[in-house]
Amino acid sequence: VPSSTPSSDSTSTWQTVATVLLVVHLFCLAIAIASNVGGRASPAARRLRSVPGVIAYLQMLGMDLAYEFPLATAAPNDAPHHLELRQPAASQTPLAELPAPQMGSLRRQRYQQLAAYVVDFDETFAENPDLRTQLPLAIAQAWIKRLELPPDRYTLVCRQKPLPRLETSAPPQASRDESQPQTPVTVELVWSPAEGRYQGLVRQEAGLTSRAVEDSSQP
Amino acid sequence: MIAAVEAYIRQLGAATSRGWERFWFVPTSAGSLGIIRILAGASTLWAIVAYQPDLADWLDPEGMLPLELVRDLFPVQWSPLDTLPPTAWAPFHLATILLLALLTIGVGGRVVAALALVGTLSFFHRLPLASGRFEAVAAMLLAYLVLGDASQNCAVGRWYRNRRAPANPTTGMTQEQASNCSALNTISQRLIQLHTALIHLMMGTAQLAAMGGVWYSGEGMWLVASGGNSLLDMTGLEAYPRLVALLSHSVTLYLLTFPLGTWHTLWRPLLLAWGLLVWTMVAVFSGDWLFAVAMIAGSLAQVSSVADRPVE
Repeated sequence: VPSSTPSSDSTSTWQTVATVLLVVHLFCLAIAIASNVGGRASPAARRLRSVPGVIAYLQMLGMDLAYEFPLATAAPNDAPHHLELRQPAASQTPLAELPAPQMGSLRRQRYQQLAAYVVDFDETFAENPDLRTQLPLAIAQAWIKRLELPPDRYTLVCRQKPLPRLETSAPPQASRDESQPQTPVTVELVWSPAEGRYQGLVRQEAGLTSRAVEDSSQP
Repeated sequence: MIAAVEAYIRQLGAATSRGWERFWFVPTSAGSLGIIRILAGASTLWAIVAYQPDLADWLDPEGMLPLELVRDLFPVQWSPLDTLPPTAWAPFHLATILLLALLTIGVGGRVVAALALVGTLSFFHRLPLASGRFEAVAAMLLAYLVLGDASQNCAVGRWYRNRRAPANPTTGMTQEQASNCSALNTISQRLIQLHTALIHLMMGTAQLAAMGGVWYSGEGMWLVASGGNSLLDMTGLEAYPRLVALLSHSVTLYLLTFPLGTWHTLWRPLLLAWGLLVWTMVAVFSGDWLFAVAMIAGSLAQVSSVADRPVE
């Protein structure tokens, strides 16, 4: 591309302003990448996130991420997730599944991602019952309402499909163990007539322990 | 000695300044921005249309992603949908679809591009738990397309006006195209180039760091195909692990080569062709064809046609 030398003062001023804006933008982008890189985020970049306006600017543009999309890993959370709505007293067949089999690929991926967040938050907010059950309760209540089911006891189960591994690639045993599917996240829903909504019981390991949690609507 | 250092610093400063100006501010036509606009606009249009069956389920206060929950988790983000009443959601959705359609066919210039960006980000920010890698790349492309006037190229209105106008044999541009050369087009294209190269680099390094070493062992593309969304039945690949390994390594190698090699004029066509194969493969294996289209669109910012060259 041939060069072009600006001659007028207005061009020079415009370029100076544009240069400052470009440098600021690229700097913010560098902060986003360096502070969001999983596992090895830069402490300096994390501190720079507190500069006023940086986070708001990045999030406004949807650029506050490190773009670490490996496409596939052996991590358990990387396996495709799905949600099942069950009635404990009924048969083993779920009342409904999300994503539903007939959904197109994009809708399917969105519901798979939502289900993955259920598992993710169950781990991340293990010590915070409110946040831990907020998402599964919201999903279950909306789902029950959509299916026009009567108030009753239901169970929301978030499962993941185990990823089939190539035998011949023979990764280390530890990696194979890491790729084993996690225990399904199970939320038992009980209708509360007084509250007019469902309350949830998160059951981490089916049949072994259950932890009562408060209604997610409680502050 | 000091004089020599001073001279060197002056020379370095002048060369850097010239290089910066050449890189960012040489006026160019819209060039490949038109193709990027079509690909990014059409893929985002599809993604926004796909919200339609679940719009109430996602957005309703008693839906799957109530506002209170989303803002608890993402307190800094804000969307116009946060304040709109439920009766306005469908018209807002329709308006965003129309704006993206206009952007895709190249009508309305920067104003439509900016409004389409606002509409699109409104959905992405209101539904972050249903957004993934496509949304991240699409947001980047749409944001940078607002800077340049991408509707100067491959656009319905522009095509209609230019179809009878004679092109300059040297530049390949009509008089109207030549008069529309702008440094903002260059900035838009350069930002897409840099950001896309960065995404390639981060994806490549993420593959190297992926749990289980699946991209080292060559199992990566098998796991991509095992996600259950592939466009074709890939189960037969299990019998060909070496082929899977070849495909997996080619993806990693491409992702790591693109950010550096694409700036070299001789390597660029090779890398663009390689990228087209890689992203097509990723689309077929993963079923995430929108992401693949967005990445192809971003890569096309490296295409420098005759029409990109400035008027002498």
